Parts: sequence; structure tokens; C-alpha cells
Amino acid sequence: MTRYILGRLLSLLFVLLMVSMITFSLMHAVPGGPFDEEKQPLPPTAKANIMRKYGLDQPYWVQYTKYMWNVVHLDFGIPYQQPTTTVTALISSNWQITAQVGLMTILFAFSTGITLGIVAAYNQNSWIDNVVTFTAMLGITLPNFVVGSLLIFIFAVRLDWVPMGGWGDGSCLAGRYFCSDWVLPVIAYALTPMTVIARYTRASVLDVIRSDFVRTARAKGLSERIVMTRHVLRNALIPMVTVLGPIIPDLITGSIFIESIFRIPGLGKYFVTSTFNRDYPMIMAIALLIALLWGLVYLLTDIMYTLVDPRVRLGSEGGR
Amino acid sequence: MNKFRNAPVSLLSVLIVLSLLLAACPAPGAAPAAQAPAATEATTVVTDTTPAAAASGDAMTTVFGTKLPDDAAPYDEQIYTTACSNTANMTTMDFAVSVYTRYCLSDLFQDTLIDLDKDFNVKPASAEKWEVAADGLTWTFHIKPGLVWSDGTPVTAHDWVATYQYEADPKHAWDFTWFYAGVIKNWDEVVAGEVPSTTLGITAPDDLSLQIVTTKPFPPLPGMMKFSFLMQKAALEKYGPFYNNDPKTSVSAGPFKLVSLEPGKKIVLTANETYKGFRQPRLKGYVGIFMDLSQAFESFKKGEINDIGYETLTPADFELIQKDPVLSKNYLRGFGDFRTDYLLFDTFNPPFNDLNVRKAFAHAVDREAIVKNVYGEIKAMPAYAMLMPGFPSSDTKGDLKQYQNYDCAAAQKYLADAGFAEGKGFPSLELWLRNEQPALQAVFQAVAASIADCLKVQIEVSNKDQKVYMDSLNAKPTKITIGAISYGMDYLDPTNMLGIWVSTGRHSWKNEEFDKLIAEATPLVGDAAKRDQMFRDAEKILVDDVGGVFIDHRWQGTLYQPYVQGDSIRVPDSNGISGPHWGNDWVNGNIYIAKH
Amino acid sequence: MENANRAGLPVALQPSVKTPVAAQKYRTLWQDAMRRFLRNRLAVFGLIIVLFFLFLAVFANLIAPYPYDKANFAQVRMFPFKNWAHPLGTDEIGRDYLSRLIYGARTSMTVGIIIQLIALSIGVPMGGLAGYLGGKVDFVVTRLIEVMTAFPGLLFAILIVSVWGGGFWKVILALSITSWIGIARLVRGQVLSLREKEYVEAARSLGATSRNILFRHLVPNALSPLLVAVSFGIPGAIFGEAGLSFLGIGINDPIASWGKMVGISGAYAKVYWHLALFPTLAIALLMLGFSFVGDGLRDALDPKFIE
Repeated sequence: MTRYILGRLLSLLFVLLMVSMITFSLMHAVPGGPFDEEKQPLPPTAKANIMRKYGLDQPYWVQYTKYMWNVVHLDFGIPYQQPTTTVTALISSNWQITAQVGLMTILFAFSTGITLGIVAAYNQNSWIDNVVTFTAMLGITLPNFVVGSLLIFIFAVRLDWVPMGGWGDGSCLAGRYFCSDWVLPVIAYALTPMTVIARYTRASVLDVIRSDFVRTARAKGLSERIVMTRHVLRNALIPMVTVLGPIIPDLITGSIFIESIFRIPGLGKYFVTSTFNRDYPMIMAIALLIALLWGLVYLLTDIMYTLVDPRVRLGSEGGR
Repeated sequence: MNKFRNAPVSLLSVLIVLSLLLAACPAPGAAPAAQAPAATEATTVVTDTTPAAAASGDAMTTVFGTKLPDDAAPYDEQIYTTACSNTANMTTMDFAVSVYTRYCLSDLFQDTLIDLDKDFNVKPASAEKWEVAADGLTWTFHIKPGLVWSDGTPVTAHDWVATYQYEADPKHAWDFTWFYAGVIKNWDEVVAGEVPSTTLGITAPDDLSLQIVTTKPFPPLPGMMKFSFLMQKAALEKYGPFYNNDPKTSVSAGPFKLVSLEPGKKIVLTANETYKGFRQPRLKGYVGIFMDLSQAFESFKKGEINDIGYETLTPADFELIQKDPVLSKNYLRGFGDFRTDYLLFDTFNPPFNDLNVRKAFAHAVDREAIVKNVYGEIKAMPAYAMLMPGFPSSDTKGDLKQYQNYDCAAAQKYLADAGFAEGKGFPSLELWLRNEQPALQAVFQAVAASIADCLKVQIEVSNKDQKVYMDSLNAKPTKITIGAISYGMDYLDPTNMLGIWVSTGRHSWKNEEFDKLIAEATPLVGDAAKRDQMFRDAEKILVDDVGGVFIDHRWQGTLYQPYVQGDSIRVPDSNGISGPHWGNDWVNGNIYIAKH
Repeated sequence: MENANRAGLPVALQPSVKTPVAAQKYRTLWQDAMRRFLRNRLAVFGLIIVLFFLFLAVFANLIAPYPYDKANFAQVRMFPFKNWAHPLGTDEIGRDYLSRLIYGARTSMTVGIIIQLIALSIGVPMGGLAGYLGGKVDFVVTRLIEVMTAFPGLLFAILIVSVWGGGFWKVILALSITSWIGIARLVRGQVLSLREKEYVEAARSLGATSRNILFRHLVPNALSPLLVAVSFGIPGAIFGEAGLSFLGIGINDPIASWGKMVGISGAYAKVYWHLALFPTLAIALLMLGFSFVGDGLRDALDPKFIE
């Protein structure tokens, strides 16, 4: 087990190295640099000054090696778009807020999604099932920025129940909105994962309900409640670990749409601004952060999978 | 695959544990608020930091002891709120640090040497007077005595010298260095790092005199000083260029000073009670709220913000404004920066190296219908040349209209003359846009449709990333065959708007006569009429030789709450345009919140 | 899947086996699946939607009342159901909206299908070889999949489209680069679990070559999950194109793209609701159709339900 985990961590390091290389070469291949003039061409000498200031005049391999050397020493550089701080400080302060939204979203999406899925499966082909299936389809087909704008329009503009947006900026103290600034973003953000979870839960529960051992359990005369909790749910939810794990890194790294529509000062906006502004240190840091999260989540789901299902041996990577 | 008879742990219990862990955390809404104790209501903050006026007992007196107008709301309510983009790239409050990545509410911590009135005449601001020596090269600006920084030290000419030396510093690599290139003595050499910044042609013979030496006679120099935004020499040396990002180190010689700056949340400014300049504010403070600008109109309607700029309003918002009697009265139109939208070509290569092809394109754009129906007349007027009517040396009589008016028959004939009758054999084109908003995407799609329809050619419209566009445009040779772009002026002189068309500028169009006229007219001193005529001749060459196809001049404007008052935005100029005018810094001292 | 193998069904899936019994079973399996599929009302409904859009896509030039690029500046932003010359109104620059929606189906379908074909032609051999050969090949492919999965998708798409610019084929290229990963992972997993099965062992001991075993035995057995994956992959690709076009870096104007139509008309939506509504509905409906078909296929092809 330990050897396996060490091996996987080693492979994660390799992935991070590759991601850093691809990101680095891609972002330098894209036309336009961080300090391009907006209106008029800079005099060549002035341009050279800027490039020298940020070490961009050196050959790419030198820049890359230097960067990686600093990263090993946990120095991710200075973001071009906020030169008074460091990349590490900028990401940690913004990610804190994003992660809060993300965790609440995960909680909300998983609890309602799983409940809806179970209810739908147990009432297969009834109107409840149809409603859940149809809402699930809507959740998947409607992008979250559409949902977000709609929610703001209805609940903040028309009904004035909740603030238009913002994050912990005094509306709690004012007492007007009962600290409700997180309600709309979490609902808008959770809708898509919730419906995905509901669909998978439904399918998975249906699979189990039809299986022999459930029939046997029922034939033995066990009460429906015991069959459901002991046999159906336990067995139906396990395979979902692999499906649901990958949703998590997406959610805790934030959504540009949700954060900008609801004025949440989180990490999401830096995905776009960093790319558009060619903020090289931020692009690299964000790419590495996401790769790391993905790697860790996959490793954790695999480990969890063996814990819940002893038949899966970690050594062979088959069956995933 | 789906049978796990002996599963020891159920996922549900994992979830329950997870939810318990989360429940143990503080209430989600309360957590960030607790981490940021300073972020209470903006008004409270402002009250806390301004001890003076409110205590005096008179609700209508400012910290400067001046009286508010009779219809004004009490001084404590004179807080002006505005929207700041939460996705824009912002780093600094100071023009001298970076021009293109300033926060909103920047440039209120200093007064420039000059200001403009509503008819764009230069008038004194921090400088009470100025003169140029007989050689036309040495300018002396006399600083108004008695100006002070909020830390109590006097404002001196040495502060400007330090600011300019910092701007030209090669290590700083300022994004606006091109502005003074070729104008100020030794500017280019300092920027290139060839000579030290102390040799710059900007010096202080004494505390209140600032001397600027130009490389050649340059009549528009005083107007250029609209950008002489100041930084404090002492703070610059002690704390570095970003001292104004932190209230602890921030120092102001302007009408307002910094209370707090929280990127992504809000920026709070309050009246600077030590201010002695020309625009003593009636407002008690400014608050900039960071938001997604797509939500700004809703926020405006809810009364959260006091103004909203034309760039932020969508075509639908404009329809709503025009239908609403109150809103339409409070949308105040102005020239803005005299921005012109136009098409540019690579005229050094086929097919646009052929003047007939360019003329065909110029005459194939149905500007009037496009402006009227697609763009909207509240937002633009059809353009036939570079300079918007109202700009110095602009064509107000319509003399240039004949060169680029919509005339499909003529356009077809020109294309036939170029050997592409009925569009046959003409290459299919990709019209590049520079990361345009939907409203302008629609305008240029209409332009392309107009050309394609008239000339029977194929044009796709491709909206490009800003950096990709500029990089390709500035590349020599250029990588853009045909593109759409806009330009707005930096200072009110034709040399600025027309100067970008000289062959060393960003366009791939070369006309020696045009180059010569601009080069000679720019430094011309003494004969204003001759200079004016030379620019007019140059512009005629530009439209006749079709350096670009001019589509529209933008009307820029701002929608204000009806209770935002002040002559600076409500009283019309000599052209009958009342809205905010570019370079009118006294607006910030003039506006106030009326009772509502 | 395990049940299926034990029942010996996958052997019957090999088209090359010529015994009459096997041939009969082969038909029966697909006929069974077809029957189950057709009995599923939602799946049939989905199929009708998909076929409807496919029909629009193929015959767009015959069905659409106007060309997709014919602008009329005198009739911009006309509301729908007011004037029967333009039943669904006109867009920002006066093009018939119904015609653009119909041509939009052509764009979406073409993008979706081409991208899935590319994904299959890269993903199936990659995953198949990795799963079957194992060892170094598997190691390399797995690492490649890991790297591609870990790479931030939005960053990737924006960077790539920035390098190449927008336009039809470039969008397809940008989306194809990551589209094969899911397929490769799926095929690899299937082959891994199948290659130890008795009939493969038997084929191997009979002297069949690796290539033969891979493409005659293993890939056909992975077919049904693959079919399901494709039925979800096509709408995924369509959504991807719509997303890029929505961000303004996708399909170029004047070619009609639903995503672009939603993206541009968002700014007009508060007044001209139809500009955003119709393309949103079209995307949602097509996605719905594909999802129902995918669900139906999965149920129909799942051998567990064979009575």
C-alpha cells in the first residue's frame, strides 16, 4: 500500500513536470506578451527594458529552469497583474473564499443530488422520476451563468430578498439580508453537479435494485427499510466514488462565471485575466495548482475505492 | 461490476462525516466578515476618519468650511458610489506607475499642471501660469504657492521632476513612455538607458518653477500636461511606487485621500481636508464597488451606484433608457476621447495594395443605415474621416464625405477596375476584431455584410484576443490583412489623432506627402491657421488614398442618477453638449448629491 | 459486463465468425437491443429530436427561407411571430433568425460528429493498444492521459484558440485535442478487463496475432460502452463549440453558430428576448435529445437486462 502510494505520488510529480512544461511552452507560443502596448508600439529600447526587468529577455530554457528552481523553493514569483503581492499570497487569499463557496456547493449538490437520485430510482417511471429526470436534463443543458443571472434578476432585483452580490462586505452586520450573500451563488453553482449526481445515483440505485442479492434479501423477508439502507444504498453509492471524485477539484477551484456575476473576490477570475493579460507567473501557478488537485483527487478516490471494495487491489490499475 | 456485497464502509457515512466537519466550521456568511473587520458600511468608515465638519453641527458645511448648494443632501450623505470592474487588470492608483492598469477612482490624489474647460481650452490648475522661451523649446511652469501634501509637506517642482524621472526610468519600463517620445529632451535616451535620468529635459530651477525642454518646438505641450499626474518625491523614495495602494503609506495632494483599498471588494476615498487646489470637493467621499459590469445596470437601477458609463450599457439597456423619461434625461452624451471606429488594411500586399480595391471597400459600407439601425444614433454618428467633428481641424462641413460615402455602384465599378468584376477571383478575407463587445461585434458584422453584399466577396468576421490582435498589427510586416479597430485621442491636437497614420506608426499604409505634412505641421509655431490647414490637407490625403475606411465616431456618455448635480455635467458647452468632457478634472470638485 | 462475458455473448459479436448459430445470436443481440430501445419512450423521443436536427442540418439550404448571411439593415431585431416574412424575427443586423437557427444545426452537427470521429480514431487505437500490450506502451499512454486530464481545460482551450485563432476547422482542432482522452481511458479499461477472459485466451492459444485479437475480439466487445460514450460525446463537443463561440473565440461570423448567437445576444436579451431564447432552446433541445438517446442506448445494450 505504502509502496503503491509512493509510486503514485512519483507519477504525480511527473505529471506536474509535464504540465509545467506544456503550459510554459504554450503560453510563450501564444502571440502577445505581458507588457504589450495597448495603443502604440513602444520604442524598441523601452520594450527591451521591460523584458529585461522581468527576465523575459533570456532564452526560454533559462527562464524555465529558473522558474522551476524557484518553485522547488516554494517561490512562485510576483504576479504581473498585482505587483505589490506574491503569487502565493494572491492565490491563498483568493482561494480561501473560492474554497468556501466550493465546499458549500459540494455539500449542497451532493446531499440534494443523492436524495433526488434515490427518490427517483425508487419511484421509477412515476411522475416524480420524470420530474427529476427532466430537471436533471435542464441542469445539464443550462449553463450556470444563465442560471446565475436569472436568480439575481428574480430574487435580488425583483423580490429584493437577497443582495445583488458581494461577499462578507458588511451586509451581515447590517442585518438586512441575514448573511445570505452565499445563497444564490451556491444554488447557481450547485445546479449542474447536483443534477449530474442525481442522474448517476438514480442509474446506480436502479442497477442494484435489480440485482440478485437484493431480490434474495427481499425474499428473505427483510423489511424494505433494511434492504434499502443495508443493501441498496451501500452498494449503489460505492461505484459513484469514481464518478464524483473528479467533480470536486472543479468546484473548489471556482467558476469565473459564478464569481464575477455574484461579485465574489475569488480565484476564478484569475483563470481568465491571467490568460488575457499573459500573466506568466499566475498562469503557471494556477495550472500547477489544478494539476496537483486533480492528481490528489484521483489518488484519493483510488485509495477510497480499495477501502470500500477490498476486491480491488491497488497494485493492478485495471478495472478503473 | 456493480456488486459489492461486502462493502465495509458506505459512502453515505463518509458524506455524513464530511458534513459534520463542515458544520463545525463557522457560519459561512459570517466567516469572511469576521476576517475583515475593517469592512463595515462605507459611510461609517468615512465618518470615522473625518473628524471635522460633522462635529461643527452644521450638516450643510464641508470639511473645507464651504457651504453646500441649497438643494444638496446633508454633507454626511455626499458619498458618491461607482462601479469598478472585478475582472479588469488593475494594479495601481497612479498614472505614473501604469496608465493601462489603474484602479477605478484613480488620479484623485493630485492635480495636474493644467486643466481643461468645457470647450477644451487649457486653463491653470497646479500651475498658475506658464511661458515658452523665444526659441520655442524651453517651457517654464510656475507652480501655485501654498499647495500641500496630506502629510503637511509642501508640493514643489521637485516632486514633478522626481515623478518624470521615475516615469522615464528604464527599470520602471512605464507603459506610456511613447507619449513623450521625441518631444521631451533626452526622454528617449533615458528610456533606452543610454544616459542617467538626471539628464532629462525636466528640471526645477527653484521650488515653484518647473522647466521642460523639448527636442523641437512643440506648441501642444501645455495641453499634453493634462497627463502630468504627480507623485510625492519623499514617498516614492521611502516606500516605492505603490505607496498609494495602502492607506498607511498613501499621501495625497488632491481633493481626496485613500481610506481603504480592497481589490475585488471596494475602494473608499474621503475628502482631503488639507487640500488647497482648484477643485475643492463638495462630496464627502467616493466609494468604488467591485462588480461584474454586466450587473452594473441592475445595480444602478437599485440605487447602489451613482453613475454608469456608456461602455457598460448593453444595447438593451440603451433601449430601456431611451424609453424611460427620467433615465433618458440623465444619460448625458459627450465627445469622450473623440473615438473613431475604422477598418485598416495591409496596403503593402494584395489585394489592398490596389487603391481601387480600397476605394471599393470605402464606398461599399452603408454607414448611415448601420449607425442608425445597428449601432444606434445615441451611441455614434457616421464617419467619413478620422477626426470627429468638434475636434481641432476636423471636417465640420462635410467636405470629405465624397471620398468615402456609401455608393454601391461606384464601389462595384472600382472593384471591376481592379480586375475583380462581380467579386470574381477576389480572395476570401477574415476581418479581425480586437476583442470587441457584442454591440460592436454586431456593428462590424454589419460592415462586413454590407461589403460582402455589395461587392459579392467573402468576408468572415473573427473576434481576436486583444494581445494577439495588437501583436499581429504591430508586427512588421503586419499579419492583419483587414481589421477593425478604434482610436481615441490622448491630447487635443490633430497631431495625436493623425500622427498614428504616419508610416512609422501602427498602420501598414504609407503616403510620403501625408508623412511630410504631419512632420512639418506638428512643430509649426506662430501661424495657427497654416498649421490647421496643413492638418486638413493631410486628412484629405488619408481619406482619398484610403489609409482606412472610417465607419463611425462614437458618442460617449454617462448615465447619472437624477440627484447627481453640478454645472460641470449639467450645463452645455458651446456645441450644446452637456455631459462630462474629457480632461475636465474640476468635475470632481463640482458635482454633489441633491436631496432625493 | 461480467455477466455478458460469462453468457458467451461477446463471441457472437465477432462478425468474422461464420457458424450459423453465432450469426443468429449476433442478430438476436442487436435486435433485442433495438427492440428494447424502441420500447423506451424517452429514448425514441430523443432519437426523433436528434433525427429532426440532423434533417435540418443536411437540408438546411433547401429548408431555410433565406441565406444565412443575408442582412437587411432596415429590419434589424424584429420580434418573432409579428411578420410572417420572418416568423422568428431577425437578428442584430437584420438576418432572418429562423434561417440562422436552421444553419446553426448544420454547424453544431458537423462539429459534434467530426470531433467524435477524430476522438474515436485516436482514442480507440491508443486505449486498445495500451490495454492490450500493457508494459511500456501502457505506461506512456497512461501518463499521457494523466497529464492531459490534469491540464486545466479552460486555460488550454483559450491558449490554443489564441494561437490558432478562431474559425471552423481551428475550433474542431482545438476541441479534438482533448476529446480522445475519455475514449482512450474507456477502451483501455474495457480491454484490460476483457483480455484475461477465456475466449481471448482461447484465441491466443489458437495462434491468433495480437492485432487480430485486439481488433477482432477486444474492440468489438468494448463497442456498447463506446456507443454510449459517443452519444454523450457528440453533445459534449457541440457544447464545447458553443462555449468557445460564446466567449467570442469560436466560429466566425457570418457562419451561424448557436453558441455565438447566445453569446452576442446576451447583451440584447433584456429587450429582444427572442435573440437569446431561440438558440438556447435549440442547444438545450439537442442536448436533451442526445442525452435521452444515450440513456436509452445504455439501457438497451446492457446485457444484464436480457431475460
